[in-house]
Amino acid sequence: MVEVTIENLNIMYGDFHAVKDVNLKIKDSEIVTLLGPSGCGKTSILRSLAGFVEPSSGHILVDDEDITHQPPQERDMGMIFQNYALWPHMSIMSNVIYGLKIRKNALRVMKIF
Amino acid sequence: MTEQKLTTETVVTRAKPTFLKRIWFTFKSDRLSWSIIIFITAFFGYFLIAPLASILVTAVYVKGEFAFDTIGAIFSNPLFFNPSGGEESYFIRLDHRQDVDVYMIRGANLGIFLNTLLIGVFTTFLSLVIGVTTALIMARIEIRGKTILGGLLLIPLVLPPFVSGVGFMALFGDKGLINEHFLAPVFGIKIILEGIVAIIFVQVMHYFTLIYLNVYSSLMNNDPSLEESAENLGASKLRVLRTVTLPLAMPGIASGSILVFILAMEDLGTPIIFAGFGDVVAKQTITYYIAKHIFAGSETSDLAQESIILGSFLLIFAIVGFFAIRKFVSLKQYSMVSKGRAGEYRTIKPGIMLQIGLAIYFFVLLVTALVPHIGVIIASMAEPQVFPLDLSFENYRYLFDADKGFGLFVKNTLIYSLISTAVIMVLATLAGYVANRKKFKGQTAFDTLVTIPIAIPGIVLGIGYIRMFGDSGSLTIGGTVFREWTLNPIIFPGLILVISYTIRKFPFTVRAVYAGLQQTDVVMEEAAVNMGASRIRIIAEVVIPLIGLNIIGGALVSLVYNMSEVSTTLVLISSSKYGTLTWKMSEASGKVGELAAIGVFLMVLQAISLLTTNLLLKNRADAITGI
Repeated sequence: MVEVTIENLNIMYGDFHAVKDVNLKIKDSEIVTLLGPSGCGKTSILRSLAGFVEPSSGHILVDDEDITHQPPQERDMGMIFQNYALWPHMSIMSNVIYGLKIRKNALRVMKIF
Repeated sequence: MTEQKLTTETVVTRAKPTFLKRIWFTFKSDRLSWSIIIFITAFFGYFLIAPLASILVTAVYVKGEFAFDTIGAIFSNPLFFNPSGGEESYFIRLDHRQDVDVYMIRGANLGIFLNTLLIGVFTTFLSLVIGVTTALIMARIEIRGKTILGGLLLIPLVLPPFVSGVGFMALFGDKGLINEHFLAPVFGIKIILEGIVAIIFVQVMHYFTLIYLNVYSSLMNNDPSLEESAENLGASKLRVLRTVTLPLAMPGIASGSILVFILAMEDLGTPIIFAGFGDVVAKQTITYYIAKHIFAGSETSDLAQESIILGSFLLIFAIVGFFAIRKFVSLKQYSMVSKGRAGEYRTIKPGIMLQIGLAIYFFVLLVTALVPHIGVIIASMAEPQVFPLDLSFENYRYLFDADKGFGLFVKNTLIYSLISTAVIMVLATLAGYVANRKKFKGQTAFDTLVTIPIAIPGIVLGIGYIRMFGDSGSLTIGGTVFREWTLNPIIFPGLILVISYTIRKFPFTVRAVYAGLQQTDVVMEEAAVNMGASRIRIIAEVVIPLIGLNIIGGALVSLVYNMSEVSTTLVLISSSKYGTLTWKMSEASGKVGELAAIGVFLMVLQAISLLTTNLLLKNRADAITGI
């Protein structure tokens, strides 16, 4: 059971108000798509969910835990980047198991392969 | 009968043109490009490859037979090779002078060969540490006044030869401002850096900028998502740095450090200036030895075999480094792989402790890096020993006083540099265009030929010219153009000097041209071809207008380095009639004031040129410093 709640989210880039008072509740196993013209704030909302943008106000909750100010590497939140973000200096295998190695799951997964 | 014969011949030719004809057809298909390729290859072959090859050959092949005895003699002579160190080799020594304790920090003195290697290794290592640290901080941490800081970090680049040594002595020397007026009266001690420690110190404060610029630009040019993706997968800051950030910046780190390694070992200005102040160890470096022992004796015009061998070692280190780094960088060229970039880099907001730490770091770094500049300005206007300073502009009067002879040196410097820069502008534009836009066999070799001079120690090229065109030269073909215009540097150094400037500073303009062409879509040239424009027309009407700023920017950099060229200048010029400013500076190494005034003059010229270049090229610093 995981529920994501966004409360009164505001994101400012300098003077530019990119995201204005957004409220959103994503229920467990629900699939949500954000649609909109470019520059309307889709990426900003996603990046604040993953922790790459610090909201200027508002809260992001996973279940009842407030993760608004948690650093990205401590969040349990998967993200696929717009431009894939594959590391050119690593092999395909190293790219795939990078996250698993950090979670110390690599060996178990390697056995499956 | 005749008709039939003709037909047969035509058929045969069509089926299989002769080798020469095929070459002729290839040439005719693009006369201009091929003429450029042939001319540049011949020019570089004759004035770069041949002299260097003749030095390498002479190192082992003397008077018709292979001889290794001088190499053996070098490695058994403690002057050249003394791995155990001698009496003069100490890291630190304490002297008592009256009531002052003097700490002499010398490092080591392991003979000419190892001293030079130590200088290369330690200067590179320390420049690497400082350069990479500074680049990481500037690229990833939020600091107030970053623009100003970035500007200040460029100042060490504006540093004419000799100046660093003079500035260093004026502040840190035995009689310098800090020892004489701060450490001795307040603490009763003096700290004197000397020997290779002093040389390394001065070099690091100059060369770390090259690594900083290279690494900074690769840190800023990689896709930010590459780091974010790792963070998203749970990697800590340190792990991201270790597994993603630094590996991606490796090409920049590697090419910056190899450039520093080569420059540190071939640096002649710093040893000369310290030797002029009486430092014994500074005289025991490869470049200083070669500069002072060009000929086998005062009566002969034969080159000293020891100098040829030491020069060959220097050359081999440089060339191996150059090719190793080319291979490495081409294997690890990632920047083109990722698809555009998303967003900006997030910077870390430093906490109060980190802020204090950074403030101290930059304060110490900038104060030490700007030491030569401050020192040389003080030294040009006052005796640094006398405090408070008694300022006067007496030294500057020499600079523009025709009677004192400085006018001649300013004039010579400008004539040589400007002619060479003009030639570079034309040839490098053509060479850069062909190397970039024309596909032909040997393209890589051609590109290497026009960029390798950046790695060639000037002093070795200098003795190569004497070997080839000097009195006992073996290759004096075309030696005399007119009676006065000879290539023999002993009779008239001007012509060969301009050629050496042209060859050695060629890469800076070629690089700038490459940078321009990479930003320009080839479609614009194809459109012109499509409408029937010839190659020359395309260059004149499309290419030059599009990349004109790059050409001018690159040429300015070439000009700056021409004006402050030391090593070939000192080797080739033997009469003051033909002397340049740098030549005069090496002659006047005892007279600090005059030297400092010339230094400040060159510094101002360099600053103006580099500022203009930066404005023109908009921070394409890698065009200036890249290999």
